[in-house]
Amino acid sequence: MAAAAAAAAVAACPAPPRRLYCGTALPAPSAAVPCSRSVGYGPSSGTRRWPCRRWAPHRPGAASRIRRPTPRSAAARVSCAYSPGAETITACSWNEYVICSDIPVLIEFWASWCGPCRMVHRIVDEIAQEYAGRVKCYKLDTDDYPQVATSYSIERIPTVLLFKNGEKIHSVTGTLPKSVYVRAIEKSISDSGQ
Amino acid sequence: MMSMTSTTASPFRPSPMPRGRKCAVRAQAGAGRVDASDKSIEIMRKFSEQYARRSNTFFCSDKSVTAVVIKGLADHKDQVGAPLCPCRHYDDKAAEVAQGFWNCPCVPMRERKECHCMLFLTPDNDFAGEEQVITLEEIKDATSNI
Repeated sequence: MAAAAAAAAVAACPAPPRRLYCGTALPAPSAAVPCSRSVGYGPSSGTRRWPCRRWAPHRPGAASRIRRPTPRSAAARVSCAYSPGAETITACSWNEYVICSDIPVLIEFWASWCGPCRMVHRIVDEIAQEYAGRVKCYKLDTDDYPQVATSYSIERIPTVLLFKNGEKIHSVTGTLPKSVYVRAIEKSISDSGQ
Repeated sequence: MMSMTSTTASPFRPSPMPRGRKCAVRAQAGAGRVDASDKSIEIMRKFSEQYARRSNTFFCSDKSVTAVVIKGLADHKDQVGAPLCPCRHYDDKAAEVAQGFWNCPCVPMRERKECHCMLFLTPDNDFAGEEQVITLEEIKDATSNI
């Protein structure tokens, strides 16, 4: 039974990182959907010996949720911590994934009918893959979370902000060649002496 | 700025919003995006072509950028009554519409040919294409999958 649960958990891995459980608008539906229903199981699952036969095969998201409090299975976590491209971030996960991140975070502010944003999307997606593990990349829709955009005085979009240690260290506004973004990232990485 | 507005090629009257409309706009924005009507898209398409010719600017070499921006302008025209620039974040769209600075063609475009939305690009811009026309089909194709 335990093996079955582990298999289910591994199967759930290609979904977005479990650390992003707060994000509501994740692109992959498989993990986001069951989350809301499995929340009730969370506290009691600390015992980690949950008889999961009844529902684990049908709800892979729930299986990963049970596993979350246990510090084991670090290998599985590494293999699925980064999905291709930039992820969507929400206002409620802002503090956790931007302010509290131990690696630099790059955030693109965009809006649905902004033409140049689509070009910047592509660049940010490429950067997310190339710098996987060194820089975290997110996108934030300013129409969905106007309060975040307002608090960082975003006027023109697309605007890309680079955060390190919870502080905004760089801001790029408009559509610029990829090298501009890469240079800012390289600088932030090298400054920390990594 | 008022005199400037009246002398431009903008096909839109800088009419202030009807009083009761403000709430309706907010409600719409909260309920989700309202798709632009074909009529508005057509109006904005024609305006874009005409203004590009008149200002001697060109559409982006990636026409999907142009299409998305025109669609955004049409959306704003339907939602808030004026083609507010879709490449900006506004605290209060109704107030911006009334103020008029960012109604397309915006003041920076009229004064200095600066369109950060990349709808109207001067020929020396790296992203500028060679066209000043875009069809309704191109716009629909490019915006249908968003």
